[in-house]
Amino acid sequence: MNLSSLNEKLPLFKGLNDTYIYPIMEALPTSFRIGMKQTIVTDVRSEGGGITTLRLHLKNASILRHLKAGQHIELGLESKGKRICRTFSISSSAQQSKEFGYIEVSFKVNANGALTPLLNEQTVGSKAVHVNKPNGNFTLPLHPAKEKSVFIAAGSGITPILAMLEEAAFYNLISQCLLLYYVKDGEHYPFKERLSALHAKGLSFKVMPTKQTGHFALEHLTHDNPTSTKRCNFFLCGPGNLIETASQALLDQGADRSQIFHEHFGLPITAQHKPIPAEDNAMSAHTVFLTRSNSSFNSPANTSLLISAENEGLTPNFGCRIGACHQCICRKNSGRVLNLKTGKVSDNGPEDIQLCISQAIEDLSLDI
Amino acid sequence: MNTPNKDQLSKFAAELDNLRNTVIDQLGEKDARYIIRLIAIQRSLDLCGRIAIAIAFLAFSGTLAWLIAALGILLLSSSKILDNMEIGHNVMHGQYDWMNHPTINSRVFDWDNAGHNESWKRYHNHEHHTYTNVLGKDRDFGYGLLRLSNDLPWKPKNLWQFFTFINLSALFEWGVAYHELAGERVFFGKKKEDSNLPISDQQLKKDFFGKAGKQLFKDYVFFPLICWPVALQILICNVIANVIRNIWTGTIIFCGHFTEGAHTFSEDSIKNETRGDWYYRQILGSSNISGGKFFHIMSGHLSCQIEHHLFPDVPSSYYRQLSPKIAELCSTYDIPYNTGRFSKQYFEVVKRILYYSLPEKWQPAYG
Ligand code: FES
Repeated sequence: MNLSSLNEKLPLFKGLNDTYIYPIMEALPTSFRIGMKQTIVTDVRSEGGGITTLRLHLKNASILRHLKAGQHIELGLESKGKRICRTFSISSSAQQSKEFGYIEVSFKVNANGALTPLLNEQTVGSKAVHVNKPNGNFTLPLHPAKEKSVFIAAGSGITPILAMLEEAAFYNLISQCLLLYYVKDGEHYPFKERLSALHAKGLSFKVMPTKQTGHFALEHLTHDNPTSTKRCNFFLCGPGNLIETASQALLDQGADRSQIFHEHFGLPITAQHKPIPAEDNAMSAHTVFLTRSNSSFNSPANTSLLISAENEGLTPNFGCRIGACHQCICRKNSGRVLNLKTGKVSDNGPEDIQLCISQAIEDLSLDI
Repeated sequence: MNTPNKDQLSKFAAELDNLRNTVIDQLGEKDARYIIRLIAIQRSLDLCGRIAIAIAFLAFSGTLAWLIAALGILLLSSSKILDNMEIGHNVMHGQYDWMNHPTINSRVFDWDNAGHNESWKRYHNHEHHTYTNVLGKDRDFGYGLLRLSNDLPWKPKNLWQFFTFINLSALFEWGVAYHELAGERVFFGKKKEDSNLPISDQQLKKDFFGKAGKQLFKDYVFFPLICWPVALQILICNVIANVIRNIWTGTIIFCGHFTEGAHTFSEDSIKNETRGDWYYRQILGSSNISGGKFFHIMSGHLSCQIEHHLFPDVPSSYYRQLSPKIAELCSTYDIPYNTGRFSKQYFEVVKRILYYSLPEKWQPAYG
């Protein structure tokens, strides 16, 4: 029996750990960090197309027990005493991860991002990257009820799909898989080698350089897929418009909603962002998603999140309304905010923000 | 003392903002390690203290047992003091929120104190820090029990307020816990009319009893019981440790706002207050205690009350280095900067409590 399962079973044991053991361990010169698991980098490799893959071995792999291919994981690194966390798709197969106790994540360096430049500095042996439990519903059904699995990926949306394909290959189901992969450059695209290896095992795949083929169109699919829509499962990952057009086209073809699985992007949202001057964005409205209540509201320009939430009839906690009491504090999952008190723009990963002095400068997701 | 004019105050505010920003820009690894290490030290003290007390009575007897227990009490009360002052108070002010740490942040951190963390944040961070020493607004001014200014009407109970003060010190954590409930008069039905708390009376009561129960259970039931044959001795030691912590924290806090020179303000005077006015009022309403590094840490840097009131969310470990700079700024702008040795400040507090226990007409000339 290991520590984490004891922790779950005995509240007293957990209390003891939380109060005494963990805080003391964190102060020691080890890489132990409260709330996250330690890893060690055991491999760094380039996947082509500017993508790097890190293999992270877990000291205690119990969090991988329920891992499914296609899930994502939160990575955390410390920089100047601050924890920076982002979610990445796991690109290694779930079966391998469980067997060997490691996960692989793939990323492209975003010079303006907070985390990817730090990830890029990691070398074999480094213990600085920490992880959380894997998560996510975009996964491969273990016993595919359909004859064929069709994967449609665009850009970095390939990462979770790669994990799924590796998984399918392990269970000898790869010959029932078809991949449509939209890339910028048909010659040098990410994961070229891994995909050809999968191809050798029976994967049918088609690289679609968007310059020539354009974005997704139904013909791309029907042309290569003689199987009737009804007998397929579809897995879509990429930007929002790909998912929308593809799902709509498939539904029009008579596919059922239950046959379509999708997720927005495989790499963290960071990679998609350009640096935006805060002033411009303070001028426009942004959407705020609330993950716990699964709703959203609009946050107009030059209005604090507290006020715009209240205008929408929500009742967040508050006290002073001037940024002093920390009562309106809430967890932000992603998106950047402008701090009206200091004029500083936040990071776009998960962190705590004060609603009364924060203003959205892009779409946000809040944990309320 | 001349009141600085609008112009001077806005220049003064700009200089203070400048000081604040230089500190904020420096925050990093060193500060994160400071608080993480301090918490680890505090937890170790707590653990060692509790173990020492238990071993004292389980393995020794007579005077030796009490001597070892005294050491344990010393460790346990220091741990509680560190937890409440340098750690809890400052973390709950959001001084370490920039670390993005899952447990060291103002949203989830809880302290070893009877006061519920949410309730404390509501009245302390907001009310006390915004309306410092504003009569009728800042309930921390005399804690509703002590009359410390002639602007408050005299009542017969003020005659023995010195003893109320001694009691309040010994039970300080309960005063803190009961504070918001008392202010809202939740138990006596005389509900305040202009209450705008974002929380119901039921919730307020539930929080109070939940936290109070947890604290009582931990120190007075759980730890005594797991050392069953010596439960009573352990209970006594825990009571002593809590009282020591209460007296220390209470005393430091009284010295921060109720010394002779600490000003009070009327509600009218703070209407249309600018940032400069606010800074000015924070300085006039607070007083510092001079001392060494160890003393400042044990008092959670509330001995730098002025710096804390100017910059409540700047990590407290910077207050010591800010202090001389702010004192210098104050002297340039001819603003009184109240500081002194502990004995001087404490003596002034006692004097003030005694002085205002008499109605105005019986008071001798102050001094
Ligand atoms: S309401 Fe007080 S900090 Fe936001």
